Amino acid sequence: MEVFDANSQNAIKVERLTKSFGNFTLRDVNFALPAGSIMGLVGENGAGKTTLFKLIMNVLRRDEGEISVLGQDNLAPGFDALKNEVGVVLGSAGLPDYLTAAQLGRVLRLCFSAWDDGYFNQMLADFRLPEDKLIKEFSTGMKMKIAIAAALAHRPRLLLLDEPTSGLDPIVREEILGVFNDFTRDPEHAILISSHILSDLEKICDYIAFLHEGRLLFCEEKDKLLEDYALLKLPEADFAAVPPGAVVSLRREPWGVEALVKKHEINPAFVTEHTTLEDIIIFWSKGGGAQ
Amino acid sequence: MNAKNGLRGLLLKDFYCIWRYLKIYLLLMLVFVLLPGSLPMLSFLYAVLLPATILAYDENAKWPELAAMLPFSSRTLVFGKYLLGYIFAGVLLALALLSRLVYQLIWPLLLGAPVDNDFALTGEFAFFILLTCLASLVLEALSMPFIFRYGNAKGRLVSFLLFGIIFGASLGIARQFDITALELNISLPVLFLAAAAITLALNAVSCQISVRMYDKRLRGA
Repeated sequence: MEVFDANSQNAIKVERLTKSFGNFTLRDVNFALPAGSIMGLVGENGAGKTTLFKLIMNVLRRDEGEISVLGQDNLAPGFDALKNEVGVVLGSAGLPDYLTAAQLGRVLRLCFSAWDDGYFNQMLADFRLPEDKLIKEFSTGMKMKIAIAAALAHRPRLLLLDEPTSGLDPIVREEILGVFNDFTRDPEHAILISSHILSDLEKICDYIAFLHEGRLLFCEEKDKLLEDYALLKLPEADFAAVPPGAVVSLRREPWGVEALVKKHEINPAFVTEHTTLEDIIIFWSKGGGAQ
Repeated sequence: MNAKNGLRGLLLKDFYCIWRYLKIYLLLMLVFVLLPGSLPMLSFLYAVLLPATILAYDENAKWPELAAMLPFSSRTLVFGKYLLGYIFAGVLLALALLSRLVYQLIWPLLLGAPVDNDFALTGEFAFFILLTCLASLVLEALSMPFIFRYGNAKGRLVSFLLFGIIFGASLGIARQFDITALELNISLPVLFLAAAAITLALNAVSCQISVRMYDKRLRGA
């Protein structure tokens, strides 16, 4: 599936990606993340989101397909060097927690070619993170902030964020989402972010990709998704007039039927309700077809 | 960014870890290396265990998962741990020889008598400590692939089991055949060079295997 204009510059392009291990298969995944945008990756636990991040960074070897990151095949010999331009935040942190923030800065300065001490220290100050306290003694929010500071301080063009807002209170989440928004003000920057908090993704994302049991059910512009789909609530008898092809999925309630429908494929006379990303994801996971 | 800078970063991280958690380790190594007779050998045993101990702290912090996404190769990540072992073995070797030299110089000044043989810097001691150093590097070469394949806890168990089998087999062979009766016409320098060459080769092969083991465990490659 060609999702976006082939001529646009993509930060990530994934084509026909397949990876199997154990009982799990990530099957025929296709998407492209254009530069200057944020894509939200949605899916249940075990849907393949973290696997996809690992495949993109060539931590896992793919079985089939192509992945290019910032215009370079991720199996190319120079890909390790290209990682200088990618910032990664893992929800489970992964930073050596026996270091202080200042020590972490000194270590990472030697690991990244474009490490910016001034920017790192500025972010520590902005996030109100103590320089001389062990990371293991930080709160969950502080750990996430130091991970984000570490991911940004080497001036990457692409951010890969795996559950960066999970377990954080709404105020910290808002602060962090602001940082991500600022990052993509540069048209060369892009973010791929996974989260279970769909309201966060609805706030910041330009595109939404939905992984379900190892398959990409859709990858669309967020605004188009919200524009194309609507909730329809009708008594059972009236629902028969809705074209079956317009229904993504439905649930029967004692009062009738609630369905996610393609707004432009039903009679405009039907009164629909505005849908949220959460509604779309929930209905799609119950009944949507793949890609 | 080249592998050299990546290595420097990884080593700095490991030294911070040692300084944070393993000061007692350092103290014990220092004390043992200054002891008389063949006791400095014990400090080298600690040096062998050091890289795996740090790996345990790294695994606890899930650092390997993040490190795999940073701009250095598996080879750099793996070699960093070997290098740490080499650095400690080298420093201990230098300390052992230096301390004996110091004993040799200050003993007569303080006690008015020649240095006790257990503290003296003899050719025999120098040879012994050089071989001990090489032996520690051989042990490291034998254990590291298991550590990288199975993680610190299981890996150590497997390598201790291996050491036990090798030690037991050697003891059995030594009992079967009187090896002291063998007359080897090899000079000590040649023997040392041969041992050094074997150690070097073992470490080169071990490092290659460790990279594969690490990839297999982390990347499913």
